[in-house]
Amino acid sequence: MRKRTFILLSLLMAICLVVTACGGGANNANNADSAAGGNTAAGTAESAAQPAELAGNPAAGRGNVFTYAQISPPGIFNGILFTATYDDYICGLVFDRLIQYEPGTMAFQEKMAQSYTMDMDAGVIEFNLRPGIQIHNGLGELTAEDVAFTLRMIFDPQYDGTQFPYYNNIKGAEAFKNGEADIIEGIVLYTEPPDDPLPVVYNPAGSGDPYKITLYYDDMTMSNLHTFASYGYILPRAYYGKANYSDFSALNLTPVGTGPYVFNQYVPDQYIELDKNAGYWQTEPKIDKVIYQCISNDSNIPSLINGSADLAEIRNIDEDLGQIQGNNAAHLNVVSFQGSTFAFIKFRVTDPVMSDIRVRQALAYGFNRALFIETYTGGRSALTYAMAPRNSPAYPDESLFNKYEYSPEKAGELLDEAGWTLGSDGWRYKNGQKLTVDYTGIAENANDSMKTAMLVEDCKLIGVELIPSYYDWATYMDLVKTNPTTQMFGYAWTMTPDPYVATTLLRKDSVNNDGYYDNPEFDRLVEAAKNAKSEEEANDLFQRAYLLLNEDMPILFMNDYTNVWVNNKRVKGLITDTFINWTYNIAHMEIIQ
Amino acid sequence: MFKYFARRILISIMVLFIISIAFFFLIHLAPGDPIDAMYTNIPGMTQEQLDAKKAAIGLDKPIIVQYGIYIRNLVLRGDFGESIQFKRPVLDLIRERLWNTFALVFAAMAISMLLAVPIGVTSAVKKNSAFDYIFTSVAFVGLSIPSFFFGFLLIKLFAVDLQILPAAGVQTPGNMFTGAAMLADRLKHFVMPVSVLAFINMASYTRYVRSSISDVIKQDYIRTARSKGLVQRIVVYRHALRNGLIPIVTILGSSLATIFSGSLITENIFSWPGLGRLIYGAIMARDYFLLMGVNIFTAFLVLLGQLIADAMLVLVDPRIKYN
Amino acid sequence: MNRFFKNKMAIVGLAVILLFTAAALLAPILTPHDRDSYNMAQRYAPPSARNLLGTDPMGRDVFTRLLYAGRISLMVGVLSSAISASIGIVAGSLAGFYGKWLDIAIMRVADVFSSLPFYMIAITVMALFEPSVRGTVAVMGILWWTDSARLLRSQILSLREREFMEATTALGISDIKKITQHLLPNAFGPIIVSVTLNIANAILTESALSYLGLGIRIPIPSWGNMLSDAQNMFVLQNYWWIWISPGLCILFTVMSINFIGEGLRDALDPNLDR
Repeated sequence: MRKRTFILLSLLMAICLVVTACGGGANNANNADSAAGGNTAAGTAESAAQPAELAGNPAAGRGNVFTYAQISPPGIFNGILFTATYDDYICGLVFDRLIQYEPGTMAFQEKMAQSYTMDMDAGVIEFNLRPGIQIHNGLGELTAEDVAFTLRMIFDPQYDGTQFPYYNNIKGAEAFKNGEADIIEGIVLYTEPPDDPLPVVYNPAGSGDPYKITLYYDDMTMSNLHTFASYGYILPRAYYGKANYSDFSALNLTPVGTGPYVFNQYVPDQYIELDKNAGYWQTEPKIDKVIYQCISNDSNIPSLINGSADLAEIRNIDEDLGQIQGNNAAHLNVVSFQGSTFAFIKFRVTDPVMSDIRVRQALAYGFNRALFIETYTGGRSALTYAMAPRNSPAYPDESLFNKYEYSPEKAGELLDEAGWTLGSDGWRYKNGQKLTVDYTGIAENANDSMKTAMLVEDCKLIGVELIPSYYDWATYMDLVKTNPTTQMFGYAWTMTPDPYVATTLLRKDSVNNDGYYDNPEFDRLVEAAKNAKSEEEANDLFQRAYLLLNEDMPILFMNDYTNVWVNNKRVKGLITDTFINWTYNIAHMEIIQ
Repeated sequence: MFKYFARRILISIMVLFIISIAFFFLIHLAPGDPIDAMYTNIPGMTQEQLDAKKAAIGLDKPIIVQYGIYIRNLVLRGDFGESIQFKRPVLDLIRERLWNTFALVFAAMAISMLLAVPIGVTSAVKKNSAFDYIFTSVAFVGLSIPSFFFGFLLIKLFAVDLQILPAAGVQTPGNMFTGAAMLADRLKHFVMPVSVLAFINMASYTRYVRSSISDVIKQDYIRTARSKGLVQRIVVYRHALRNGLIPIVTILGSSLATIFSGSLITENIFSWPGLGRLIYGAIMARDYFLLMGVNIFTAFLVLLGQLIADAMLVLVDPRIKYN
Repeated sequence: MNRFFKNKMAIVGLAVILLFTAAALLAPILTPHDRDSYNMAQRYAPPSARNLLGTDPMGRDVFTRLLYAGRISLMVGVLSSAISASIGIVAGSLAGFYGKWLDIAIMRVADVFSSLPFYMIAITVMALFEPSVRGTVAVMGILWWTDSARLLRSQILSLREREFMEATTALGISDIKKITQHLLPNAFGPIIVSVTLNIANAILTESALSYLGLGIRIPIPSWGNMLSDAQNMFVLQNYWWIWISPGLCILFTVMSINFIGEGLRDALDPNLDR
């Protein structure tokens, strides 16, 4: 009997050991990859005169490696297929754009293009690329043909990314995608056709200029240029162009571009490792390695404090910053800047109760938004009133807005006026019907739960019973789309460099208009702004549209997000701004040794 | 007995089949849709684009047809399909993370069992002694503390205050350690997550071992054996342990699912690159194919575990008859 | 019952649970504060005569919320384990006693339930319901019956082979009587352990679901969501009263319930030495 028990226990132990050993084995393989493919990180440079930034800095021994800590990216590292911001970071390191936004001004700035021209009346955009831009891994020089190739892949009938609508104004794009045309007539290159030509127009005038590309548009708006600065990563044909579409998307985990960093390896849910591109066309990057470390949201603060990360994003601003400013965080530096997102509460305007503008305005007056924002963001963020960043020229003079400053009295008056009178039990009634509001929030969102807790209490004070319910993101999206009993719901929306794109939140025929807002005047203003012939005219029209929303109240604006990033002080030269992420200046950033 | 296990295996395959049907319909019934969840909130998205994306992965077809296609690909070609979020084969995604979860789960299971059996048996034999009180109390604390809370306290203490253990991951990112340095790096990363999972499991194992051994000790034949003057240790290990282990074996088999489930929380706290985080993300995104794949795969592992537990039950208790 | 009252740990456990239950029920009398009304001027206030356990990040009284949260947490624990134990006892005794096809059928259903890791199903089912008290109870009640069913079945399987069962058959005792009077009492110890573990587990799992963002949601407080809301380094390091109190409530409650279970088990066990 004892023998049998012994065998049993041994068997159990053996299973455990085998499995644990296998775990070790699999991970060994990853390690071998990293040793083979990586160039060696510089060791600790301990000099007699240690810079002040390194005194007591727990990251001081980590060498010339920049570690960015963020949640795991989906892993679609392809400049035209990615949708997540996290994948965009990797794309920003590996690929380059033709033009980009300048920090501070948000004006267009040349990058790989040494010049560009735009003719609004003729509907033409022309780029002239810099000569001598080298593709990673010695795959040759990047030319205008690579730009044409990138567009051609976006127009491919099998293309399953999301960028097609931003380029579909190019002449012949739709026809090519639908298989009605063999050639994209709106893309023109100035070289002789190669042996395997792209389906574009080659060399009409016979002047050989491999760096020039001209694009002809059906419908010329400012949006067309914005697309190149906000998306616009160029994929080299030499690497991506050999295969059919499914082979093309199979390269998502091994991107190759012209950017400052060369993709080295991706260890799923652990890290992505990139090495500097010594032959980068701008300058040789100063930092040897960039590591994107995949962490869960809760680990960002510990990783910064113990020095294992050089940069991370702060989510719960109030609480996390309180922690960062503690005494064991002298090596950390806080960077905050205007983010590109704003929070709002949407009203289902087709609902019998919510269709009354006075009820919507009363709720605006009755909710102490300023106090919430002050508390939640520790004063780092403020109420916003329009769907453009406040540093954008499309954002109206703030004094023109009705601020709906907190006033339960005004809220009460408006509700009285709308026929909702206070009953003896403290709630409001109209024709025997109690004023209750169904509010739907997102379960994963901490911001939302504090907001809702306040909202419930504030509504109580004006006699409105707010009934909150929470769902995970996917359910929430389903409910707000299809469930007509949801009267109020809240989330956040992206402001885009091109203000027109962001207005899909409230345009009548848009999928994003889940409050069913329908105001022809608003639609007319934003369409006119899109087609305006000058930026001034466009901005003026956008401003009028925003002021209209301020009065009509289809959504209640909350705050624009202030992005708060924390970096280790050993990192120098980090530049971030509203539409610019941390990869913008990576080639010039350095780590103090 | 061979006949019994052959039938048991057949039944397990049937169970897997039922699970695949039940879960496929459950997740499709749940509100939310992967394409809507992933793409609707992108400015400028159009309904045509959304519909095209749904059609591309077959979501426009009736659910029965969708299941038919899924199960045909799975059975005939072993094809788990492609993840909607990651746009990669489900099997690849599982394979990349499987060993990390295995290492965590089995290390925790082995450690907790190795501690639980001697502690539980000793507590049961020396009932109401100081040893019993101390370890029973420790077991109670382990049973009563939320794992995420325990994990956070460990991170606060060892990663933030003392800064001696890493807060996240299974290894230092981008490291080029080899040999002993690599082993040390891994061990450091293992300490906290394994402790959390092992402590919580140890607690429940200890309780089971103690209560089931003390049940057996009280039974007549043990009392008879004791009264015959045999050395107590021999009595315990020969009779009590064997009989007392019957429920433990059952629990071990069924706790496999619990531990896999518990690893979801632990993996989230410690940014562990395993199946738990994959599952959580897949559920949140309604990544149907990934969800089905991970689910069937985990269910397969758990059923295998239960089969092994059953086999062990026969080994330790030959009185149980199977027909 | 006398034997139960001789067990000191069980008495302490019972006292704690009675105290917590009474406090939860008498919440409106015990505290002058409102459960939900916030006061941003009073955020993070340390314990004082006014706020016995300080205030939370919204300036709400922690003690008050703790009392009301107790109602929810205790209710979730008891209801969900009552549901799962009832299902488990019926299923387990049927399967163990009758065996054959009924055993196969019940155990296969149990296999289906127990081979799916809990949180996976829970999260999906939560999406079908809504993260709420009702949803939380339902999820745990429906998914957790398999442990007690298996336990009971394996106990009955080995008891069935014993001599005394052969004796009952010889005496011509009916099946129902056999199960309820002879098999169940003999297999009761492990079931009690399983039920207490389930109450404990339910309270713990509710907090884990809150941690995953899917548990009981505001404005309704539970010990679980109070604790998971406090899970950030800032609160952990600076404001002990926000996390220690719900943490200890969970710890003490779950431990006490386990002590009670242990005591009951000893008291109900027919084989115990006198």
